[in-house]
Amino acid sequence: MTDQIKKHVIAILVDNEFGALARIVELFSARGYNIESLNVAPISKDKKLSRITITTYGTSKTVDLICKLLNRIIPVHRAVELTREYGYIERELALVKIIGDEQKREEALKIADKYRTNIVDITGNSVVFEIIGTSEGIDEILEQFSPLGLEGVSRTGIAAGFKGEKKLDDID
Amino acid sequence: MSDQKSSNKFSGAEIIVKALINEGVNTIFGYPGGAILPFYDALFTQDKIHHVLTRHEQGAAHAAEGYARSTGKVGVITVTSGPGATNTITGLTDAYLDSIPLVCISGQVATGVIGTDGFQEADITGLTRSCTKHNYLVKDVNDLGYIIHEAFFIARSGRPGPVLIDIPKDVQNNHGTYNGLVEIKRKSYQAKKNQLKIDHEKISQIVDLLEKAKKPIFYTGGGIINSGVKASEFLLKLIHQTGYPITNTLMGLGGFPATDSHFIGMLGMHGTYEANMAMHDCDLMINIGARFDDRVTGKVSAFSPHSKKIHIDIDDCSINKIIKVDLAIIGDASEILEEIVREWNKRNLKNRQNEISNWWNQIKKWQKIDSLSYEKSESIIKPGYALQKLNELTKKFSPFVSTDVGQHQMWAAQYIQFDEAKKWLTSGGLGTMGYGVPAAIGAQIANPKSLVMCVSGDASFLMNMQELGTIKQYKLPVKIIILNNRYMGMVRQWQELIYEKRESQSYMESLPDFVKLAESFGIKGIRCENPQELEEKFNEMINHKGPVLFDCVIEKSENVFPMIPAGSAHNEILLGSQAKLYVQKDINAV
Repeated sequence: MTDQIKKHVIAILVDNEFGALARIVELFSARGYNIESLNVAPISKDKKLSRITITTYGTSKTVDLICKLLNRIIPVHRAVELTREYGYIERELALVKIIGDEQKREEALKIADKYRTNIVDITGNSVVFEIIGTSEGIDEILEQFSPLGLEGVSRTGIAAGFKGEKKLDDID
Repeated sequence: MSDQKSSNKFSGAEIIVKALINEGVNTIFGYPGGAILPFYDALFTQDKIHHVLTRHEQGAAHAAEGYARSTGKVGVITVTSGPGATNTITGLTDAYLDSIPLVCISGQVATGVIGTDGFQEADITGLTRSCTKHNYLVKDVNDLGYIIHEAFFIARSGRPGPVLIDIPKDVQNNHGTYNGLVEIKRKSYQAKKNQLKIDHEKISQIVDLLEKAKKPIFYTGGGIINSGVKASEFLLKLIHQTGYPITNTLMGLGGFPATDSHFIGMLGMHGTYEANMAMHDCDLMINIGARFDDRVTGKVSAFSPHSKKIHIDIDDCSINKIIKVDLAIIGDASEILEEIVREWNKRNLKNRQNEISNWWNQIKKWQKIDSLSYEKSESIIKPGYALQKLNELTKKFSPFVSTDVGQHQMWAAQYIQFDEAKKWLTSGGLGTMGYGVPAAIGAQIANPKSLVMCVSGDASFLMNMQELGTIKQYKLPVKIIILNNRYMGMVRQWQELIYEKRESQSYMESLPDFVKLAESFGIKGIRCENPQELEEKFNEMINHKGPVLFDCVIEKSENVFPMIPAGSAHNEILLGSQAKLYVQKDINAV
């Protein structure tokens, strides 16, 4: 079981300083692991603390070791694998641009409506949608958009947490 | 200008000097150059810090390692930007793998020039990120003092390691505030230290297992030495209280006295027969401060199949990394050992040597095989003979011994007996040829009155022989013994055993005349080719007041045994007489 390659999402609380992200990323690259998605943003009022969310594919054993090694990095406060925890939830945001004739744009608007996406901009032959959902959900919508003149996608990568009152601090 | 010079405003270079002094540093190893000149100028006008000029920055790094390992203090290196800094990388990596506390201060091109491919510019924080515990690029002179103190704190606390501070030239020249020694409050790092509180429930469980064991073995490593004298004291106490056998890793030698009757030798690929067989057959293994390194475990799936395993280590990353253990406790070896000793006493437990007499009898049978014996010779010096002689003649001085890497390193580990910690300086994790001579320099600088020897090989010695210049300049009475077999012996050994004797590039042609080489540096050279003359010539070396380069010409084709073939289990260990049975089970094992 531990040898199975699957998706892991890791949350890291880290001091907001240069070099910290590089050290974190190098832990993955040094083991030949690809980072599927990554996002970083300060989460404290004084902007001194950031939360990084990393999505990667690997065996549980290696990801466990990576989490321990992440915790060993000096500016890292906590590194926790979220995917294996009860109550795991994730969201991702994508900005999607469609350029096409009227028929295709209308088709796209219908799909957008079905999936409750927001329209950010309509200019000339182009429409920009904002999609929020799980990564798999976004993949599904993009699949439907692709014959309609899908000309650009920008995804934020996964942001993740837990349902209910459970917090990062509650995990050993 | 007058404002800049007011009260506690100093140049960055002055702040470095002051901060080093406040950290209690009195010796640094380094090499000047363009980007670090402001610091070297500030160094010139003070007399508290003694700077040792090595002949190569790699030499400075290993010398700082030898200094740190032999004293328990943080070793300090100062080098310039670009090649000066990149030359330290092997030393930093070596210190990272062997958990040696170092602080490396590198000069950098001025902040405005960074990233423009300036002269002698290298992205050293990028280059060293994976071989340092932490590193810094200082961009503001006002941060400099704090960063230096934090760097020392990080280097020596927890699992020790190297820390690099890259300081651009303008930061050294600018003036800023320095607040002196301050308490280091790094929340992210402190939090991890708080995890090290000892769990008494676990101590109790350890003693439960200890008091019931029938075939126990203690397996201890470099963590005992890093933890300090107290760890060795409590370990000795615990071993004597329990009456249990103990083996050491290469890095752990000296953590427990080698001449004590409970010690059954080093374990691992070239460890003793009894140590490896005991590891394989034991029913309880207590690992303290070692990391189940592949030199020690051999084939992981066949590692000690019948034992319960306890792992005590300061670094939780080492727990269950290679070998799954039954009970793990994270913390400092001396504190945990003290607790175990206390719990043992609290339960009024007696020495169990007699109760496990079957186990001791088995170990004694294995010991009778005398796995370190070798074929004696009247005409040629056998490496085992040379090192036994050296051990016998120098034992009374309790010498520091450094080594390089290869056959001579394994022979030194097998035949030289260390009764004290911090006397044995070797590159265990990284296996760095060229480590020995500079490491001996560092140890001799730190221990000027002690006998410091470097056991080296002809190939390893050539890798950092420029440091003979340093030895001469500082009048360091280091004794370097080259076990000269005209080969990269360990490479040749593997080629003989695994590659049907195809000696690809392992032969050292055109070796220098080591005696003349020594003399050209103004150092005494001695050559010995005859076993009958060895004792007399070793005594000549020991009695010589200054440094000696000793060319000990040994048997060319001697191999290191016993040997666990790479990828094999402990109980597949081969003795010298069984070399023909060598089978490489895993061609990718190293």
